[in-house]
Amino acid sequence: MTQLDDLLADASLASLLALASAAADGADIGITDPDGRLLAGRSVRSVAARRSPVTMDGEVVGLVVGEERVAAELTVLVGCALEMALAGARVQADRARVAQELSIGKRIQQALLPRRYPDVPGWTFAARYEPAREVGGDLFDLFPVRGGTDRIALVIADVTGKGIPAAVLMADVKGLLHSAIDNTDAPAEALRRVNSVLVIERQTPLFVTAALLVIDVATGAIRYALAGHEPPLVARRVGRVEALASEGPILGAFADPSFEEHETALEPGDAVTLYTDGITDARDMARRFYGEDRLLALVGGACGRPAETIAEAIVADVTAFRGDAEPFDDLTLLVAERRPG
Amino acid sequence: MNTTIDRVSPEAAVLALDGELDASNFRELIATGTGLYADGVRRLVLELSDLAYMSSSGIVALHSLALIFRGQQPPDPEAGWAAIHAVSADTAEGTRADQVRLVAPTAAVESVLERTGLGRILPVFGDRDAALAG
Repeated sequence: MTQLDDLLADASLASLLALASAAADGADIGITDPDGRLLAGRSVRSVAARRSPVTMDGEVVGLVVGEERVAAELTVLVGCALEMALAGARVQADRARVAQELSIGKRIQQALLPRRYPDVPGWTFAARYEPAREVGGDLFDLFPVRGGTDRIALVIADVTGKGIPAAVLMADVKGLLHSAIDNTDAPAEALRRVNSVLVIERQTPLFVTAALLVIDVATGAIRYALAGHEPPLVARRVGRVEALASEGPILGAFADPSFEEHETALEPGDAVTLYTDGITDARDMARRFYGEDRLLALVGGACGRPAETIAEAIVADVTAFRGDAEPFDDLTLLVAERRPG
Repeated sequence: MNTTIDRVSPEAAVLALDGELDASNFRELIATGTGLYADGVRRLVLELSDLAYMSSSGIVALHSLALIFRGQQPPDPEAGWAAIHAVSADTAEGTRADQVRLVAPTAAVESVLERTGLGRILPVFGDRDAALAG
């Protein structure tokens, strides 16, 4: 088994050797492994045969062997052609592997998206998830706390890194956050517990930002905590937008962090939007950022509108802003609306 | 992103970053820092006044540099979180890891440092002289 094995099946190799032989007036030319065993072409037995090494990463992986009457340059030329083919094959293999990783990462992400919105009287939910070509590791979740009817948890998180490692951590964090919220109700405590698990038990250099909201569906009261994440935006029916800021560092990086927790409340007609930096960091063709200000203005213009309308408006504006520019990061949004009346 | 190295002394270097630090170039920054450390630099000052933007990959790069300049392995899939915890454990105990210092981050970069908590680990100075002196 040699690195050349993959090339041996290629019809071009037979053509290359046939042409080289023809250029040497029909002299025998063959490819052997480093020990001289014939792999392709014609065997050359003469002691005075021309030999030219085929190297990859400084290591000899084969020999081009020609009869003595073959010009030295010709065997070198054939050797070069093989080295180029090996290098090209490796680049392609790397690309294929990366593409497959991204594809698997994306499938993991998709498999973990919530299948349905909780059915909560008086509340409407909307979500958008648009993966970019480069998998960014966003996740969102919404679920009734402990499966009950009085509280709904809203989660959004962003894992640094791409591909399978990011998707695996995302899947891990999703489960951890769900369980933590079910066990404690208190968003800050839930973040603290998830952080502890990541710090003590996990081996990964990746970081996670997260926003956690727990909503009392009867009163509209919200408790929230953030871990290095963009503040969710509340759109008040009266026409005001508020950013729900709260101190707390990224998850998994600090041994004993403190997470603030705050409260607010949604009145009927109000809505809260959770998002990731795939929106604010979206760029147009001139490399300008979409930015927080534009998002604030857009949400402000959607005050009093239904959840679905808000989600649609944000996606439409970001898409219009981006124009033909390639999206670099996942676009993830979660909106919860307390219905009017 | 353009990187300019100013080796002010055998032990100290100023790395000026001009442009944007993101997934496309953060590994190069780590590699540059690694090379400087291997060459004897023990205080690294990052001049950030011309760094317009830093993504989460930039966070990873800054964390890695902080560790490298403490003589530890930067995080990689094998090393895991243990290395990063060493830095934050130091911070918790009150001793700052100040072998890597930041100068004049722009508002955008400052807000990322602030929000992620990384600003606690890496000291920030107003100008390079202060960063080199302190």
